[in-house]
Amino acid sequence: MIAATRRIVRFALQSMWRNLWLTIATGATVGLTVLSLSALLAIHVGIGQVVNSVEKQLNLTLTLYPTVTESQANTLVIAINALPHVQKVTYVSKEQVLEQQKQSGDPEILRSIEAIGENPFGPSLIVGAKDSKAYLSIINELQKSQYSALIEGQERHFEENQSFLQNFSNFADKVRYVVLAMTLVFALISALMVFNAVRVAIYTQREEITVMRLVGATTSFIRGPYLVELFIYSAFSVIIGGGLFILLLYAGQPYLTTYFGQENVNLLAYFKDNALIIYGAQFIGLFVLSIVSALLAVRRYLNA
Amino acid sequence: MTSETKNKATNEMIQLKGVTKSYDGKITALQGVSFSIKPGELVSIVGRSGAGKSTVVRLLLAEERASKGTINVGGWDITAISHRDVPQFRRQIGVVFQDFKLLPRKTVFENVAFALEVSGEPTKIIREVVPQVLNLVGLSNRLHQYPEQLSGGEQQRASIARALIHRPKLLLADEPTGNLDSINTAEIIDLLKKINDLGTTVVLVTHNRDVVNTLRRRVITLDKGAVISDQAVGRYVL
Ligand SMILES: Nc1ncnc2c1ncn2[C@@H]1O[C@H](COP(=O)(O)OP(=O)(O)O)[C@@H](O)[C@H]1O
Ligand SMILES: [Mg+2]
Repeated sequence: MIAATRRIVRFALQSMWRNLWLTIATGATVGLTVLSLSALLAIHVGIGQVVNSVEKQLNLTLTLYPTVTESQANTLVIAINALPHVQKVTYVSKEQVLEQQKQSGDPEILRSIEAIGENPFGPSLIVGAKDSKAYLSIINELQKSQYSALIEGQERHFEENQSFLQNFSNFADKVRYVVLAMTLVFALISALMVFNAVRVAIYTQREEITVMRLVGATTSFIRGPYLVELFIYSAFSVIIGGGLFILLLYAGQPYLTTYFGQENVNLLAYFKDNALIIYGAQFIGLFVLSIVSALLAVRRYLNA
Repeated sequence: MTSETKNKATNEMIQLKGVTKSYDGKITALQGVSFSIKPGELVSIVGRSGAGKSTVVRLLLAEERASKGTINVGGWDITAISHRDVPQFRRQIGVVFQDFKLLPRKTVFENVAFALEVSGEPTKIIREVVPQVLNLVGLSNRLHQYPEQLSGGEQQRASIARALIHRPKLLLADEPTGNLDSINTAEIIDLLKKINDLGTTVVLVTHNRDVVNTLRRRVITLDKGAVISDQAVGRYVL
């Protein structure tokens, strides 16, 4: 058993070495598959991160009446916090609002503040939700009459917000679907490419398979070296293709950081953190797929 | 070796009884063929192209199954041999073809060794026995060359070495000299005679008149899928 296994491994290595061009061609196909799947995954993750970062920057600012006291505002904060999907509610006191307005430096505003002589602003609440869709339900909730005494001029603002949020979340959904569909189509194409590469490789060796059968090789003795070869192909193409892709990310991440900011879109960190899962899954997928292709291809020549 | 396929009832090396073989249910390659061959015989099977000679060889190798009739080879009833028993069965017969059927990406040594490796023979024995057999067929200086680096005659001798490496009781040769010139042909036939003298049953399929006439051994003649003559000291009659 051990002797047979050693022979099978030796045959596999020998065959890869002596079929160097076929090995390179097959390896390149499988390696390219890994690269392109990584690229698609990167697009998928990247778009997700962009959408998330936009969603993170979205928030709902509720302007309260100047007469609203701090304790009234706190009750409101607690009520809003209790709503589903609310991530965070920040209370901005009327003094802070005044300070912000002064710092905005708009001479018109400064003049009006001076003219009034006291703080004309009410406090405001900044509501952050988990995702863009959640804002819609929050807005609906806040339109109820119990809040109307506290929240100033809500209707107009809310409607504007509502349509923007609706559009944005539709857009984000569409982008996600398109990328998902692209990934699936590409995965299918890659699967066919691998399937075909394996079939071609085995087709070129069909006569050898027949000869091996004729001199008394068992089916497993013939298949064995193919399984070893495919294991090596899968492992190497994931290591090389995956490694190459991470190198590309090292080169590309600075540009992404410039455009989107480090904390918003960081593909490099994502791929480094998840390398084991991403490439482990690709390895298993590739190995299983190529083994199935090989078994199907070899079966045709094993019948005699 | 399973008890169903191993049949000790006959002491013939080969026995065909009423064997018919049709391909795709249409072309009838063999029609009611019966003959038997005793251990130690050297028998030529002759006939025109398309007479069914290679079909006999393929049936004897269990590469194809008979459509009708029964076939025994070396004590195995291979009429309905199971797929799993085929490798074990083939390790007991040697086979040689017109086109040599060597593995192109293995050296001469590795080609011969392969036939032992498949049956789990220890490496130590392989290193010992393979050069001996290659020496017997006159290839001791070609061990590490690839088939394409050898002449036709040398390739055929390598393939005979591979067929003999198991010390088979039976050697099947399907037109082994078909691709060779007359000098190489004579050498290969001498080699087959020598193998037969050492006790191996040899079945030689050929359509070479000179080979058959100089051998002066038993000749079975096939025509259109049927045995038309079977002579103890035969001549090429077609
Ligand atoms: N695999 C096959 N499928 C269909 N017909 C075949 C096959 N092999 C052989 N035949 C036919 O069977 C007949 C006998 O062929 P074969 O045994 O190869 O003859 P020989 O070796 O005597 O030249 C021929 O008519 C041939 O065309
Ligand atoms: Mg023939």
